[in-house]
Amino acid sequence: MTYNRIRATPTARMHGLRMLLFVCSISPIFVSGEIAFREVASDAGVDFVHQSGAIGKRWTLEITGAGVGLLDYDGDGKLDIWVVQGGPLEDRAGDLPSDRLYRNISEGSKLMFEDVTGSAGLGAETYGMGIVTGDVDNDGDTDVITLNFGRNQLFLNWGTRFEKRVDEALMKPNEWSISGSLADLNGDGWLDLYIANYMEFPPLDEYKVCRRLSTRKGYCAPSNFDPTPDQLLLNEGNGVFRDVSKQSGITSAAERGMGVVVDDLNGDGTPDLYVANDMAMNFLWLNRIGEPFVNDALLSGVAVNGHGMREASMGVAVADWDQDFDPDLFLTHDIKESNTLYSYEHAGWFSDQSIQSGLAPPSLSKTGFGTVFFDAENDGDLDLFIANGSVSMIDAQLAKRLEPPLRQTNQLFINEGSGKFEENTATTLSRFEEVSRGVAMGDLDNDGDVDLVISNNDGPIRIQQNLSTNAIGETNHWLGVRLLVLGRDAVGAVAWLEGDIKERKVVRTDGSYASAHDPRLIFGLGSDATTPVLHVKWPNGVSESFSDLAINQYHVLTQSLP
Amino acid sequence: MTYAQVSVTRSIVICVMVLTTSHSANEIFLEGIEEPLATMASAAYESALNSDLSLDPEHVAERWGELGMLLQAHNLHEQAVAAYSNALIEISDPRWLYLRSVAFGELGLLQESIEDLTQVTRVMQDVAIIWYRLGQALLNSGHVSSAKQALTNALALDEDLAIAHMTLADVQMLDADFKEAKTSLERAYKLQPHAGQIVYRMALVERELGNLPSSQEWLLRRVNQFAPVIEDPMLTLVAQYSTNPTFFISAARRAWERGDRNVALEAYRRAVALEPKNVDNLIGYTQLLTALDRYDEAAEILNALERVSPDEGMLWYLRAIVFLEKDLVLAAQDAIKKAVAIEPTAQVLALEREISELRKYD
Repeated sequence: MTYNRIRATPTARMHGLRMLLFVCSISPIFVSGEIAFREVASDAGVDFVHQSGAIGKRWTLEITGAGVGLLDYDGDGKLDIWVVQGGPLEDRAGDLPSDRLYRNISEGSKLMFEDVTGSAGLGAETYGMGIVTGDVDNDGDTDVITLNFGRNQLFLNWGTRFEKRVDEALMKPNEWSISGSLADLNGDGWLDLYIANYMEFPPLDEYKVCRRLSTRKGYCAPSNFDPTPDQLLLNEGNGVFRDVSKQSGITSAAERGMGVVVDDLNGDGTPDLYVANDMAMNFLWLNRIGEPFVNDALLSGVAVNGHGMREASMGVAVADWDQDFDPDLFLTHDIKESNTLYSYEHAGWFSDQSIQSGLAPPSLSKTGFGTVFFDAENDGDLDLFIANGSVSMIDAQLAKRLEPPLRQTNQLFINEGSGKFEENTATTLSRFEEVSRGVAMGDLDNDGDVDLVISNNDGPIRIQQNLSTNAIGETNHWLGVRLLVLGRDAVGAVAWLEGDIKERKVVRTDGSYASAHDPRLIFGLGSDATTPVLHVKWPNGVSESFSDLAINQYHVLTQSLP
Repeated sequence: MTYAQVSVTRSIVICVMVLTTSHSANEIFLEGIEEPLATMASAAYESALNSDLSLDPEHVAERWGELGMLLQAHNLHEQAVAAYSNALIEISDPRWLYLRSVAFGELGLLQESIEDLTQVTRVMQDVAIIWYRLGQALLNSGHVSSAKQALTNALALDEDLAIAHMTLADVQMLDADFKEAKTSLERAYKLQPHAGQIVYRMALVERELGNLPSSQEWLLRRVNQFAPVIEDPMLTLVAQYSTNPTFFISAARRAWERGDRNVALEAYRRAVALEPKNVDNLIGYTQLLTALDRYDEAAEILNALERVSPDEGMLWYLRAIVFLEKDLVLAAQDAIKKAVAIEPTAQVLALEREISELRKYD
């Protein structure tokens, strides 16, 4: 299916709007002004429930996973959902629950999925944590790497079926990996892989439950376990990876990695790595192609928060939220620590804008994990979603015998356009009190706005369909692009629209927590129906401009040959 | 610090008690707690819950407040809030308001914390540490100008409160008043040069002022993430309610990181008293003492450590530091040689080099 065929014509949009009004009249949706979402997982046929393997022994492992990925695995132009499963921890024999793949069979705005786990060749071997997506063999389809407690797995995509490839470099037997990132780090045209590893975890029969200061049994803090170094795997072609962790310098420091993003974080034109570490200083591995990476986090102001305090960093998002054409970083943290917004000031320096932006105070009572910047209502600026769930047991939930007693509500922050965010609690995004971990963003119904899929520890997957409109009840205008190079998504390509305000958007699937996003870019245009001019800087540094791109539809743009 | 209590007309309070104590008191959830805390907390809860209603309301509030402190000392912040709230139903005592504000803070409930602190400052206008905490909470909540006022009040009452200077610098940085921020930080640094948080902020402000080399110098000088130490008698009192040896170590670290020197010292002292042969605790306590320039006390603890574990490398490393501070360079050299022989870590070798340099000038 081509993208032209999923174009939302004015007639179709009006039909969609009428359908929306009809749906609104028969089912409760939560609307605040123009921002509206509806949770549709069950209705759409996605019945996945995460199993943590908890049996009352309070293993720290059981509260850490798991993530979710959005990918168009069969190339039909619709985003499918890959959900990462845990399963039993104590006895992993017999018929194990598997990661699940849900194929998108939606027509129009009604989301529908079918479970194709078996036919697509997914199988359960390990206890899942995270997912990384990208075309590692440059054959034009999206491959999947699952990050696990145990061996990681590479699933090569053959169109409608995945094949597990045994890769010793990738599949170290005893790692606990959570998040990863695929990006062409050495400019050879193949996507390389960075894996954020968490920490060592003892065999379960040797695990000693921790007692909190209250003397209650509780989950052991990460400080009870040794961190493990991250991994950097160079793609030597066709998805064959070589472990260069040591040579690359990234094992010169080891912390408990939970989140990772790749972007040019010092303005030198090469992709760098930023790693969110739990209870430790974060890493900023600067890419000096041909030389080992160097950790510049402290000198760049992103190792610790603006108070000089290291925090329990979990998820990470990178985006140009303030539209000054550079990458800003946002990190989620534990309760009592604020989430941290680092604003890129100039090459080699970020400043902590958490308080000024209004994002710090509402985060102090939550434990954040997955997070995404996205334009909820396509008004042209980036809003922020945070998936929350405690890691310390909440007394009130213990008293009610709720398991796991770690439930919190998620948070949506609307960009007010003046450097400040305002929390919006009126939509279904903030409705559920669950133990959320991952969040992936993508346009599931191809209507030009970003939907969110949220994974919950020991809970159901949530699909939050975006139904937002502008103040007069119409959908804002938008422009969608899929950027391709070498026949695959042009990970690392930078795109922006011509105009006074230049928001830097980057093709990526990484970020959040243990999750993978839709690589397409959506530009919210508000009420402006003018045909925009799109500028693209491709990963090889060549720039190109595109005009005459009709709005309110997706375009597939491929780098021109020289 | 004296915590004055607000007088409330007794008849009104008793009336409230009758209506609230036995029927409306917040429940305290103690399930899963183990001995000896379980017995102590249950007894304290029973005692508060079954208070004789003819008692003075201050007395009843005291029981709830003591239960609150016991719970707070064991990080049961949700339950501590409930207990303090029960105390406050009886009588508006700024002690319980203050401690509840701290417990709210531990739960990340900033607005509730600010409300309590604001009330406390109305009746206790002359306690610098309370104004500082209010200023810090206001700053964290984004109320920058109110925070500035509260911090200014704190410093008017105690100009040596380094943490208030440092937090005022945060406010000034938010106002882009970097020169003023630098002045505030210089004052803080002069008072407490060991606090890594001051050092980090010096790097930030130098960066903002365009002094990149100086900024990097400060960053490299940052060896810890400690806040400036503060003294808070109420929290020291809370710490004394703890029964768990592990608590003290953790409490000491947390207290040190947030700058509560007395709480940290007291917690470590208790941990060492409870486990006098725990090598890690003895080393940790000694490190704390040396960081606070309390070398005589550190020497005493090192003597105890030597009796327990004479072949501990850190024992001799720390001895060398103590000797150096007392200008006993030869003794320091002997000590560091032993440390090198036992465990030649980078830290130990660096000190050995420093001492060798000193010896050149003998």
